[in-house]
Amino acid sequence: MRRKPGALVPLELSLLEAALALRDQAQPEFHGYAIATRLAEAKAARKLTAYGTLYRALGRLEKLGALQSRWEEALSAETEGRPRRRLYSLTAEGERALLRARTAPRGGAKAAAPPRLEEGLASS
Amino acid sequence: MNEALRRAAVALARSWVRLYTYGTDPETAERRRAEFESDLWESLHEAGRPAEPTLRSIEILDRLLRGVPADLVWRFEALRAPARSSEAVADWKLRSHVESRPLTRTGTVVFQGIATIAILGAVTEVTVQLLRIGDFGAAIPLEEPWQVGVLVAIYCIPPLTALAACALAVPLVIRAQRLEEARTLALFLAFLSLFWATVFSFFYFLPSTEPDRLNFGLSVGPGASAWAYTWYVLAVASFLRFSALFPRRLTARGFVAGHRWKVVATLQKLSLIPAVVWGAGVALILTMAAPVVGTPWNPLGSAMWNQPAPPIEVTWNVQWVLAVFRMALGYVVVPLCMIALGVLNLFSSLVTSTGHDRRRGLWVFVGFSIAMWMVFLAIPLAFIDEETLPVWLTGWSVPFVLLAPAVIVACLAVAIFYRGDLDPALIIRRSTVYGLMAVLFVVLLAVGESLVSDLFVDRIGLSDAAGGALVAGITALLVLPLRGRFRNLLDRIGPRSGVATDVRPPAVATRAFHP
Repeated sequence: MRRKPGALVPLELSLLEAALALRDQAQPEFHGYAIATRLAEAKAARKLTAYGTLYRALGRLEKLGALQSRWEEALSAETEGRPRRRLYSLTAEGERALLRARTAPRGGAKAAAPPRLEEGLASS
Repeated sequence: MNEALRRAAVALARSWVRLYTYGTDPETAERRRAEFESDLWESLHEAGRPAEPTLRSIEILDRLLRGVPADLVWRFEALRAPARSSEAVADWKLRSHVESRPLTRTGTVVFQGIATIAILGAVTEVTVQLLRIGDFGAAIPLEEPWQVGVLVAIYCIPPLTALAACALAVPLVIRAQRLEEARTLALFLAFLSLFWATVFSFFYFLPSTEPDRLNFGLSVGPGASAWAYTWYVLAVASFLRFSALFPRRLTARGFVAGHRWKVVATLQKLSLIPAVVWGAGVALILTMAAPVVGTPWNPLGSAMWNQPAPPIEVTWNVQWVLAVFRMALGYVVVPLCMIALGVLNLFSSLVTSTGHDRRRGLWVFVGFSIAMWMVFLAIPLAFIDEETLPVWLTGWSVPFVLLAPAVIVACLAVAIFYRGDLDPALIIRRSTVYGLMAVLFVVLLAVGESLVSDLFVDRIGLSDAAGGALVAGITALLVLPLRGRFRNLLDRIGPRSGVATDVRPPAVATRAFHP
């Protein structure tokens, strides 16, 4: 089934939840693996989210404006001898979308439309 | 064993990521790969997680396999996404300049039209008469259709590819003078076209003795050598200039010669100056154009390059020695020195280049090498006695020759413009547009030539050639305006381009949140 533009799927909502939780724990920025482990812990799941699923969802949330990201400084990665991390952080828009999702009535798929984020091209 | 399994899982995962990100926008692809690498590293080094290699391997493979559908969707989206980087915009502008030039359009249509004729001649049983390029009065019938196809292909495609390359090079030079890479591409295309012209002017027929054979040898036809030599020298000069610009621009300041000989290094530095290179080329041409006087084999005193035969008769006088010295210098020593300097320039450029630039250089080397081998293997293959080799095998030389120039141009384009925003979909679509126009051009030309040409000849008194040219011009005027319609058709049904629209730069994306 084709989802509506801007609609958030459960995984994306979970990611936003996890991002908010991390921020509350004084971790405003997180990388992909960190959020995957956080998600697994929150759901008491043994398996981490698949690579493709995770990074596609993160990319989509960023495209929708719910997350923003940057590369960490090369120096810190070099110091620790590891690849650079892509650091994500929750935006105000993402937080509002999450808030709407929490307050939306839960009565089945038709009772409440999933929270939506809409993207637009300024020049289009 | 477990460690080997872990390494295999990691290698498999990396290969998959490289595979599904291949051909997408490099910036996007690089980000995806880097994120994957980071994730992989974190998972392998995280404290508190099971360190048993088998479990880690299973976890990696499990995450990889479960994510495959999402990866494929990501790839699909990445290929559809419009290119948005500033480099893409610059490249888009360049392509627009190139595409919008009438000379380019015409050259491409003519090239593809002739290619269509040649391919039809090669794959059908239609008996055609071979017309030598530039000599439309002398038709040589050949017995086997496939031989005709081979000869038509050999004769028509490379020179016309050369013309198309020239047609592309001219607007590049004129319209994109400030873009260094455009200049570099133009130089190499000029070299390519001149090279082909030189090589194929060395082929000639022996019509009276072996009409169904193409013979190879240095051209001795009066008049042909002048063009061949001029092309030869200009090709060498183009190569030398190209070597100073690719894969990175060389300058005299901070020049690294890569060898110990100071004289050669000085010559290399001189070869970085455009005026020196082109001046040397022109001087060489003028030297060979000057008449040879006072030699027994040339009583009329014609130019060096129009000598009726090599001066093999030894006559120990000053004129003879000077003539031989000039011939050796002009044909061999100076051009070879220029080529050698070009090779050294490429070497100097490579030793001081980044890995990315080296890869670009490698593309050119590979493309040129493959194309040369395609031609040099295909030509003798086509003319080996069929008792020695089956016909189907010798027939393979046709696509070899046809595709060789395309290999060079494709590799060159990748090497020069590759930033990850090279747009294969755009190239396919535009080529298809011109291909459609060319087919229509060929059909209308054939019909028009039959119906109207005689009218011009009989009523107006034009010659056959002038009548044909007139019909070709009228046909071109009819076909060229259809470009827009073909383009719109392709835009609807063809592969999606990475460039946003055809008339304006790619849109700059901004995100807005609408509660």
